[in-house]
Amino acid sequence: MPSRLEKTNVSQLATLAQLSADRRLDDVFEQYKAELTGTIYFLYSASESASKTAYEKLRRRCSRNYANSRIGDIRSWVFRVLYTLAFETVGNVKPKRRKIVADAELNSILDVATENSDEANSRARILFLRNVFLDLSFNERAVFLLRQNGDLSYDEIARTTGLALDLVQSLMKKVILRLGEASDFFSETLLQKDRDLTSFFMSGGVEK
Amino acid sequence: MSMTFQEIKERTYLLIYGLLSEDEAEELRILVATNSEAASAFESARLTTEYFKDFTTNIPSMVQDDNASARNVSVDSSLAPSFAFDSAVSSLDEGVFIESTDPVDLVSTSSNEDKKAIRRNRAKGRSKLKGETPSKALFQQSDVFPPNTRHDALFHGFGALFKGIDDGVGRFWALLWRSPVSTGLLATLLVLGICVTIAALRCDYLLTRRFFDDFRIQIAIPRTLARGVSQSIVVKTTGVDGSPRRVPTRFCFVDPTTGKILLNHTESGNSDGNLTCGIPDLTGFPDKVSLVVFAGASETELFKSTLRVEDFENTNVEKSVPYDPCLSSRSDGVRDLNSPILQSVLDFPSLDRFLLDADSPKGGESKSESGDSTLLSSSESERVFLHLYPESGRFVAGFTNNVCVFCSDKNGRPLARRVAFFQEDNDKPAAFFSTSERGFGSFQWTPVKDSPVIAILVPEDFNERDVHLQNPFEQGFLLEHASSDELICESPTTIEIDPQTGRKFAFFNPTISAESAYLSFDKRVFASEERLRIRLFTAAKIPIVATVEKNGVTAWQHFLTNSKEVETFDLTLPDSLSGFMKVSLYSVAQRRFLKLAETGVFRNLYSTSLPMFSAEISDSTSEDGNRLLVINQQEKSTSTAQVENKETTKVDIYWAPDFRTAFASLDVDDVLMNVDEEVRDEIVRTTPSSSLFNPPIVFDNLDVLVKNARVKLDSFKENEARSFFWIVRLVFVSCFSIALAALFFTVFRVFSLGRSFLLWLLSIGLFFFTLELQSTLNAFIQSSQDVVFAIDEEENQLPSQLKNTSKIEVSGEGSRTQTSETSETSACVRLVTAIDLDQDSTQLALENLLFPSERSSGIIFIKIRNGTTNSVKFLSLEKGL
Repeated sequence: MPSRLEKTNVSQLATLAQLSADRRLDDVFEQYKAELTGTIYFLYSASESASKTAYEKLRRRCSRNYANSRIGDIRSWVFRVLYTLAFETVGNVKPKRRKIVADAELNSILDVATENSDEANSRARILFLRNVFLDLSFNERAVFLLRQNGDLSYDEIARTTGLALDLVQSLMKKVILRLGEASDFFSETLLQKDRDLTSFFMSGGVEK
Repeated sequence: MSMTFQEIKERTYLLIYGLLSEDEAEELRILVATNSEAASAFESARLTTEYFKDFTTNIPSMVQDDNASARNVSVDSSLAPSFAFDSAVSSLDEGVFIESTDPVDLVSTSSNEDKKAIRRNRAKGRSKLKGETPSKALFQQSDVFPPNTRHDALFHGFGALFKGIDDGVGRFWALLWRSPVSTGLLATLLVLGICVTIAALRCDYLLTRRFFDDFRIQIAIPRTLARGVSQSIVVKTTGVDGSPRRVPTRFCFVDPTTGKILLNHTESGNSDGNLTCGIPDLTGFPDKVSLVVFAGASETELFKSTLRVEDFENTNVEKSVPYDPCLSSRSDGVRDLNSPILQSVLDFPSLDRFLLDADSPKGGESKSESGDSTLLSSSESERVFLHLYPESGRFVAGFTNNVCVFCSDKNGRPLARRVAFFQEDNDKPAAFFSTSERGFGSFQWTPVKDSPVIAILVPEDFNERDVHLQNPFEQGFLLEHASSDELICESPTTIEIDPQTGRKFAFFNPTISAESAYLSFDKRVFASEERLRIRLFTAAKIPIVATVEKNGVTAWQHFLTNSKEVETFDLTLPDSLSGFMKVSLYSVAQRRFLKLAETGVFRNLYSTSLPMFSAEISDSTSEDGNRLLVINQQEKSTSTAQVENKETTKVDIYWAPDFRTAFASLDVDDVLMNVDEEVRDEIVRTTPSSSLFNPPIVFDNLDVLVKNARVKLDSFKENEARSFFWIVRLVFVSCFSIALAALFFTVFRVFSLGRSFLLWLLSIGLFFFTLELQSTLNAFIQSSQDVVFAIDEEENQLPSQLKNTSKIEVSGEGSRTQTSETSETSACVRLVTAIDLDQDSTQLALENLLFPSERSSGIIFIKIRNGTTNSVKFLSLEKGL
């Protein structure tokens, strides 16, 4: 039977271990805050309130489970937890059908892009890509985000999502090519808009 | 190999994201290194992937309060195990994170079988609403399965409403827990408990203080004061709770004519609350004196009465005591030498007690015997004595007789036996019963006229022995029991057993009486230095006054309070009392006196070794009667008595001329034990007194005490108890609220199930405790409401052979079930029935009352038992026309 002193030491050690685990977890959350928030944002279909709630839930669940687990790579573990959380909440929700990029939306984005220089262009491109990305299915978004932000291998992604490895890779390929096409489309559209503006000004402000 | 610009970009994407094989990657590297256009496409694709990274990480508006939420989360994490909210959220994937999620493990377990299992499990996970729970083993193999528990299905099944409630409750409880509200709740409960305790203690203290000055005092005063004999007044004082208390008492004798104080004496009792105040010699006192008794610190006048003072020697009956064998004693009960002091025809009812001999052959003789063990001559150790005590002293044919039974061995030790009674020509037992370990038993039996009765004893070895009994009488005194189960035959109601000799039966001795009390003496002839040791058998723990009457005057008295069923009292009599004395017991309940028992004793001033008197029995047998044969044996110390089959015996007892030679003859004990009441009274009343029934005056302030207590309790209820009741009600409501809250939290899983159950259990326990406390208080408040009953005595004229229903009107207050017991003193029968005083009046039916034809009156008393208090009402029943 442990003595009172031993009990105290064991209790203190447990407390210290808990504090240490919390600190390590806090470090990970701090270091990969942008990746986590971005992943949550896209997995929860850009719903800010759901994303905030999910972020708190993620923190709580990670805090509770982290001390009791033997975890090597904390970052990938957190992302797997995040995927599980998102799947619980929105994984089975059928996404709303939305038009890929509405013309008005694209025009507004292009208006932003043409206001300023490269920075505005970059922001507009990101905005555009974000819209395109949100039109993808949950699995496609999840596979891409786990790879892009969580730095998970395809094997890990396959185990996390429960999909086959081939399917994961094909989904990833599809997403990359879709985003590449969108980026090219945005560049061409921007270039065309620029040309139109140039011709507009060259013609003395007379619209064709 | 030639590729277009777009193809190079696509391959670049795949290369960056690790989707290109090694050969294709090497080919692309070579192409980019050698071709400028390819290099441009590669750079364009790389820049695009930078945008990919940017758009997935730059979400500025979402994490504004990230730090705050992280801080809150860190607080929550320390308390996380306590929160059902967390557990509710995390229960969805409780098993997911148990095992390590090390990447090595992931790779090592990514076999084809695992993949199939994963797919199967995922398929199950998608069919959540089917409620299938994946096995724990699968969860342990793969820690990243999507949750699909039953909770999850339920959780998501109710949709947003349920989630909203869950979130709300969780946040509320988290807020409650973080804030000191929850701690305050527990503290409030603690304070409430302390308040209740303090209030209860305060109530108790106030109640005790209200009754602190009250005391109950019982005073027994001789009804007649006598000059020349030492008398005493006994006082017993107790508190309201029955604990003994010392109260100073002042006795003041006043001349009623002149008002002059003749005697004034103040004395306090001992620690037991008993006080025996000896009355000095009243020589010089007038024939009538007024006695005033004051008690308490304030010397409240309790009792005032005028008493008669007589000369002890100067009775109104002629005394003739020419010779007293006990020299110089005050035994005036000895008449002239050689003159009979007792000459009477003794009537021995023959069915008083049956001694059944187990060794007697079947069909043996009927034995009606007087308690002499010498009848058993051989193999006494094998014999079983079965004593039957019919309720009227004899079996009455045609009616159900209640019979008490005592089964013993020859030494009087009780035996447990099974007994069956058969009537002749009938194989079916008329009665079958068992005696208890104390030897007592009872049964009901309806004898048939002119039908011989065979009593068969069935001992443990099932040997059958039977004895013929006499035919039952046609007349008797019976009371039908309303409930035969309540007939208390375990207590020695009608039996007097001397376990030493097993033969001191006193069925004819009217010491057996009501209230289940009777006396038993070690010896009735005792020396002056010996104490009068009596044993009191009574089931009712009521105050009893024992008096010793000498020449019709109460010469000594004492309060007896029994604490158990059989109590032995050693009474030390004054030295001046000697000779024949009558010892009587009176109950003093409700300021009524009832003679419970009486018997005669003889006290020798010198020694018990000397014979007190001798006796000779002259047989003057009538033609057909019982015969009491007392054999004088000069050499033996015991006398024997035998009853033969004759109903009457004339007994003459003479004083021997020389008592020293009349050694060990029939002593007074033998005489007193075997004669009926009248004869024994004649012996005791050797010097006749003015009254045979000369009970002491008993004063009891219980009525006043109860009346005052009722007023005080009402006042207490109005004042102090009200606040306490409010506190109790508040706790009552609080406990109920907590119980509901516990139920609520259990439903919404705020608490864990175990904690919620414990909380609920605690609340329910408090709930019922409060309920019990309140009912106890109510009962306490209402306990002062005694049942008041009145009996219309005029209508209680019972005929001698009442077979129909006679009704006694009992009116009372209260709503509790009462028990009344009816008894007749002389016949030692009891009627136990229960009446409910729900209404204002209840008719108590006495059915099938049978008076013996030779009796013209009797006493029936009804005892109303109200909780722990008893009320006794007496009825004098006269035989109707």
